[in-house]
Amino acid sequence: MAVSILIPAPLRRHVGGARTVVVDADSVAAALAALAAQSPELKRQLFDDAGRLRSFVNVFLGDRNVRDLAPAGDAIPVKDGDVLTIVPAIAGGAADGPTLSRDEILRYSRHLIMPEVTLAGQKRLKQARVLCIGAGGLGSPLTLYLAAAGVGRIGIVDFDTVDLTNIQRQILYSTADVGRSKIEAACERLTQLNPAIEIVPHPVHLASWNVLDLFQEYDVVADGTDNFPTRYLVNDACVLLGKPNVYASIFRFEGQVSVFDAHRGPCYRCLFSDPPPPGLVPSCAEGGVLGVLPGIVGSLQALEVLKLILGLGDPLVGRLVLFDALAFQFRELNVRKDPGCAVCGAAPTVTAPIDYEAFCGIRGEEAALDATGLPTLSVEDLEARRRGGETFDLLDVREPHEQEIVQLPGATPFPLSELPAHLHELDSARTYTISCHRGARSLEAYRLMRKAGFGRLQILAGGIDAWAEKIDPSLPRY
Amino acid sequence: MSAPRPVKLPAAVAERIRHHCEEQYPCEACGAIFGRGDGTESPWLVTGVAHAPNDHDDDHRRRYLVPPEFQLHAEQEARAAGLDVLGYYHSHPDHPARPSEYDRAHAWLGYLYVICAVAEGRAAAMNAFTLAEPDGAFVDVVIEGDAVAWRGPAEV
Repeated sequence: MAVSILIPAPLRRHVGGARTVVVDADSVAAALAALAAQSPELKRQLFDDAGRLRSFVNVFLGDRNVRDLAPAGDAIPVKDGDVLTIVPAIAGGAADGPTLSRDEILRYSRHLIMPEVTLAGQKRLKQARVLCIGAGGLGSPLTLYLAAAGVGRIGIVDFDTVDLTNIQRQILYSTADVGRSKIEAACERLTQLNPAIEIVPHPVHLASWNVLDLFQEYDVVADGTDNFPTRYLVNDACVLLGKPNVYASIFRFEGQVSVFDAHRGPCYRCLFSDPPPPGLVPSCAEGGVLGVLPGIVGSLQALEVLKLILGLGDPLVGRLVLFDALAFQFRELNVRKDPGCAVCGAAPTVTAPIDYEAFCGIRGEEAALDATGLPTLSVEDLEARRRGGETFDLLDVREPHEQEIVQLPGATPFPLSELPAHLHELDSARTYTISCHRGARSLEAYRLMRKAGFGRLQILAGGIDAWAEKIDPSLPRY
Repeated sequence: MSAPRPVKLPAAVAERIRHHCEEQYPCEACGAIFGRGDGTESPWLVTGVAHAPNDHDDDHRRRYLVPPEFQLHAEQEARAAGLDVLGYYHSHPDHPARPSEYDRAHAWLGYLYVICAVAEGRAAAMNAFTLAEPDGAFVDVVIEGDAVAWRGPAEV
């Protein structure tokens, strides 16, 4: 069969300047072989040593790209008068991208030797810009591993200071950092770890008015916050800007990880369209967390960030991984994109960042207590009136393991968890003053007792924490 | 090696390249260059260009990839008009109009490459290049402007 092969300008010098070469062949492969036979140089341009069509050469049979079929080209028959067109791939671009110094090549050698990463992957890491929200329990391993891996620009949003209670799990900081700004201590530590990268501090309170400008400068956002308003804020901003949000959260012995990328899967709102009622899900400060747990979960978060940058494996898009440290179990839930999602659905109602404090109904604990209008007693009043000879029936509704840490002088331990079963031991005609750690559980105990017919109750504002802070600083705080 | 032959680029065509490059800013624009360029002695004569979509799946602000289907149609159109695809143009947003190493590594000997710099959205310098030898360096091609008004396929 006579087959015409259209030769593009760059290859014509191999065929005596001909624009078209006619060969006799019965398949695409045979036609290309006949063409290659005319010039060893042309053969080298078209085929690699193993005889495969080079990746930067496309071949069309008529209008059909048969490039990917070429290895089995024998199977593609041609008929008399068919036209094959050779199309050399045209690509390029402005920037050469970063180069790696001798030190960097040595530093990242365990990446470079993996065929899945190579020099190209390491350059992608160097070019990548990742914004980490929060430099706490999750942010510690997250930023440490991203910095160690060579992510070129790591932004950190945090406006907190290092507290002694942080050191149990926030491995970015040492005891000497207590009292310092987290951002400052984190930047110092990460720069020591990897001086070849850029750490950008953002000592700001992330808010609706600044979130879009901030996120715009980054490729990937990693959310390691511990509160719902910020979580929804980060989610919505990522959806609006089309950035992937690598999400993680922890509580006591459990962790969650997922990748929310509205381009190709669900967002956080598809999973949780509304925040839980305020106070229902305690924070680490209220519920506690095992020190190593954020280490594990934050590392998983870092893993997903690196995979996204390198384009490796299967990202956790559309999947939520739950880690139960006590059972040592990883469970995976499929999360579907919600077509009715308020921000990434078909008809979104959220098209710009909203007021997330209001959306989550968040108020401070004390403000919440004030807002109830319930009778409270300040620790100063309690102290003064006791000095004046007054006596109080003080109930401490904290749990026994907390009583072991510190006790409120003159208070009767009455754990909230056992309160309903033991209410009959109390006298509803008496006046009780209820105390807990900081005030939230006193409120719950108050409501329980009111329902049971106790008419004369008051709450010790700020609980034992306020007592230890304002009245007796010799007592330990936790 | 003697200096490469120059290119005659009509002002109207140059303007079309600039316009496309500004339009695509901050992303890279790319497209095919049509004309006559038989032989190796006479100048390249540009008759027109066709804007291609940038098919690069990574970073459109720093990279371009011309879809092969677009190239096929460009090749077919050119031949139908008795012309050739002489080469390709692309933009360098906020970057000089010089070939990058990445450009060089992906270049074909025999094609004309035109690079237009776009600074903050405005087209700036435009330069032309070609490879001197296989896997070799780029050499400058002199752009001679529009002594002759050629007509050819403008869009594919």
